[in-house]
Amino acid sequence: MIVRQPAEDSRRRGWRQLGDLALRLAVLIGAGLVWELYARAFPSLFIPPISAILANAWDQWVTGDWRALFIAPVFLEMLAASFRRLVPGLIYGAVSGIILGVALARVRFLGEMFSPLIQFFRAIPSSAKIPMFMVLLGIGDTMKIWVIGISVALPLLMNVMDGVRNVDPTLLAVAKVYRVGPWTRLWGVILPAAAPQTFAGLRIATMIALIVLVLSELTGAADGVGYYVLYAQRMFYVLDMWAGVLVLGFIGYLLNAVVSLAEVRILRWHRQSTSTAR
Amino acid sequence: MSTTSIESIDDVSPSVNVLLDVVGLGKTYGSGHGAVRALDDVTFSVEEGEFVCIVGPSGAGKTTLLRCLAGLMTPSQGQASIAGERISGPPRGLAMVFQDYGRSLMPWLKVVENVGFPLRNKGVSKAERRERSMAALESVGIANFAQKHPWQLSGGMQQRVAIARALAYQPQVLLMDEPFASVDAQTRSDLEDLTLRIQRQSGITTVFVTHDIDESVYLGDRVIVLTKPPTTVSQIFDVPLPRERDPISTKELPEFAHLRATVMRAIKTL
Ligand SMILES: Nc1ncnc2c1ncn2[C@@H]1O[C@H](COP(=O)(O)OP(=O)(O)O)[C@@H](O)[C@H]1O
Ligand SMILES: [Mg+2]
Repeated sequence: MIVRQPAEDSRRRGWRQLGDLALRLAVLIGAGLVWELYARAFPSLFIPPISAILANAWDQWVTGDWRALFIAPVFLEMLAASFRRLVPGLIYGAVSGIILGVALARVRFLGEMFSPLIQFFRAIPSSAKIPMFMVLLGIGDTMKIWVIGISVALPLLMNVMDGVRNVDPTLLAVAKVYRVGPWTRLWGVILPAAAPQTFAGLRIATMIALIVLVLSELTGAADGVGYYVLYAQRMFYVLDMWAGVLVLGFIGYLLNAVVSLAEVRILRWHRQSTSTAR
Repeated sequence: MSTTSIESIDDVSPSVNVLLDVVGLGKTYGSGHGAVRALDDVTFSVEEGEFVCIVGPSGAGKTTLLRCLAGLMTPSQGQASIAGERISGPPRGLAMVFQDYGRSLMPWLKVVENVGFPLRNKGVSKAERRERSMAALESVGIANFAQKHPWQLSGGMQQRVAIARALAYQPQVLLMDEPFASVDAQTRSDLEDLTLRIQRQSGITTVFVTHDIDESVYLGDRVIVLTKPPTTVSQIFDVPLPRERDPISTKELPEFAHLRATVMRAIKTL
């Protein structure tokens, strides 16, 4: 009887992860340094040194008030405005994408009926969906949440459908023979089996959500990070524009980290089972 | 006078009960030009507590037959019934061990959770589910791997998990589809004896499909030989061996060698 053991023990793995982290941080700092040197070597109005960008951001967004964790209200208001659109859009989009994906993959007739409509909607670029929804829902947050939600739901739905359709038929036969109910079949077989594909879709979806958020804030908004970037660019506040871009990058990184964290927890079996040579 | 009447009653009602009854079963995949007739006309029955082996060449429709018995598939002709009830969906109290063990276990569940999976939402308490799962793992000899995931186990051990899952379900009928076809010879011999031991202890009516003649004679109370497609039952043999079997001494009995040769001849001359 042979049991396959993980190749390394956890302590060695811990050290290796720490080393990886240091390396990644070094690359990040290195990139900043290259930017700094380039901007100083070739002074340009449009590519300021990163030190100037950070200093400007510090002046605007950091206060001496410890009670607010040194964060200026303007910064919080800007973030809050964006998150008010992004978070509900993401959640509605993800939940409806998963529900619809499972339904369309499991109920053959539904899938066949709706697939042309979905393909059509997916083919419309998000930037064109915005004017469409503006006509329908006005220019307020409702429109932005809808556009983000739909832009998230459509690609996610396709991934979920694919995952659900590719559940191993042997597992479904096992569930049938042992007469498990529809609830156990869904939560115990179909959703876990489709989880890897679902997470892949979720990663794409969060990135799309951010893109659509910025797009939607370019039209009919007077606050939010996307608006801040656009306004700064129009007014030639180059330092502000760059700061806004960095904030967007940071939000994207954060979103990705949240998804990754959930993925690592939920898909541990998948990572390990596929890395185990059979 | 009275003695005669009792004897005649005994004659019309045999002491054994037919649990599984297959009558004129046929199955055609697809229709029209590309139709495949996997089963033509299969008739046999299995008594309660019996261990029946079904042997047939590859492609004879053995898997198809088991899928019909498990209610995973509707036969095109004829019918199968279990305890007098026609099978039209997965019957209560029926468990199955699938051929591809690697794909029949949920990789996201630990071994013990896999074994308890069929008992979810069946009115079995969590504690009892665990208890039954652990007892089943104990009886197949892998209780110490309960907290592992299936993909951490070797093929033979994965098939033990699948057997434990069937046992924890406490079925009346157990179907096994070439369960040991892809494990090495020693593991296979161990698993055969494990299956026999469990069957003798539990008395579960077992239908065991295999393409291995030795295996069928060694395990079965009866051996049912299928023909090549279009598939019917070619012959049915009673196995004249004592019910207690041993991988060495049973196989050197002249009865074993004789029946083995007879079955082989029956398949050769199909
Ligand atoms: N889902 C299916 N669709 C069409 N033909 C099938 C299907 N499953 C099995 N068959 C065909 O039916 C015949 C019997 O298959 P099977 O029951 O798997 O045989 P065995 O298990 O004895 O090897 C084969 O010719 C096979 O190609
Ligand atoms: Mg088969």
